[in-house]
Amino acid sequence: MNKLIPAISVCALLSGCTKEAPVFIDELDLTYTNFSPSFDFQAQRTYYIPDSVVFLQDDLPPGQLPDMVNPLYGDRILQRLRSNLNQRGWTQTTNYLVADMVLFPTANKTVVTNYWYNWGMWGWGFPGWGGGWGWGYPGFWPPTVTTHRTGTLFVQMAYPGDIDQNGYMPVMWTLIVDGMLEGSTASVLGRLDATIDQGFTQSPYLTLSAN
Amino acid sequence: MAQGTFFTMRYQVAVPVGSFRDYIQQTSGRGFNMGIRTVPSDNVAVGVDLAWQGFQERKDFDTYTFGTASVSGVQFRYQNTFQFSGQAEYFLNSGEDLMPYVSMGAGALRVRRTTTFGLFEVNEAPWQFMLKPGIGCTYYLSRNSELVLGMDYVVGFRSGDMEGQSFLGFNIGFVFRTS
Repeated sequence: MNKLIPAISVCALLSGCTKEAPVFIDELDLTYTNFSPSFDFQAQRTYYIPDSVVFLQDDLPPGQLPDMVNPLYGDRILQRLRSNLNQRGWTQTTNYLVADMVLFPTANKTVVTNYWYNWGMWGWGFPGWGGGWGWGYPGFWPPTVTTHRTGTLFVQMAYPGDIDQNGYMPVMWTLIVDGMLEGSTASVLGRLDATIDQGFTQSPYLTLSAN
Repeated sequence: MAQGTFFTMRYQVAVPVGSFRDYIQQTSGRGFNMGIRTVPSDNVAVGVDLAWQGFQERKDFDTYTFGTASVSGVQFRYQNTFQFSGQAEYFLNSGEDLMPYVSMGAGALRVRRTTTFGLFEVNEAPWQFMLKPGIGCTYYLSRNSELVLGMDYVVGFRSGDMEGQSFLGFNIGFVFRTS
């Protein structure tokens, strides 16, 4: 009796020791959004979005174009961003010089990324805006993002109508989707759709009124 | 109750209460408690306890908003608590097979909290002052051992940004006497 009961209690203790942890890869997906509280999204109507998603690289030599995300994924990202914006009353324009807002979609698989990465990653694609610019985040501050074997999608929605004297383009909305570049192609695409949709769902201020 | 020294070993199930329950609601089946006592008189035992209780919970997909920022995903929350306390028990029916008791403990509660959100992790590890009132009973098994059943209310007090981490513990174990 004296030996049996302690053995039973030890078994009971060990049986409760299993640590609960993520089982499915989508349990690691994260959608982050932030916005400038002082900006009037309702006064905007049009947006421009590039036709590729830039693959963020560290130490890109001056003058060298960055790589683009595989179109299999990049096109899906762009299509999903467009469909969400269009559903919320936005109109796409093909001329970024007249667009109210410009979206800058990028992705990476590096270890640590500061979201306020160098503007030079985009300078090649917008000749009318020159170079040497940076990002401004009026009223909020985006995080540093750490990635592992998975990747991160960054989308900046900037307002070119208010570039300041220092060449900073104000970013009025940010979307970060983390953890989506693992798994089968179908799984990644499905999770991209879901996480991008979630980014808009949790950003109701992006839905434009009808008038 | 014979004077001398005895040791206790107990397995514990615990239920979060109060503000701790805002963080984790799931009952913990992972805990143990070890103690040593001296018996200065027939009805009283004094000594120290070392205890651990591990809590965890998966929070389903949800959106959390902080100012202008919103984050959506699945959270996994883990909290280990380590208790170090001085203890005193008062026994009724001293010398009988069944001895109810009331107890009071005071000491320190070390909290180690980890919240994982996607691939991100937030860690906190405060110390809190702790009181541990309890009730229970022992039952005679042999000249050197007794079965013990108890309930402890571990009361943590706020420290820094963390509210007091309190829980109810229900334990079963054994008393081993050296003499």
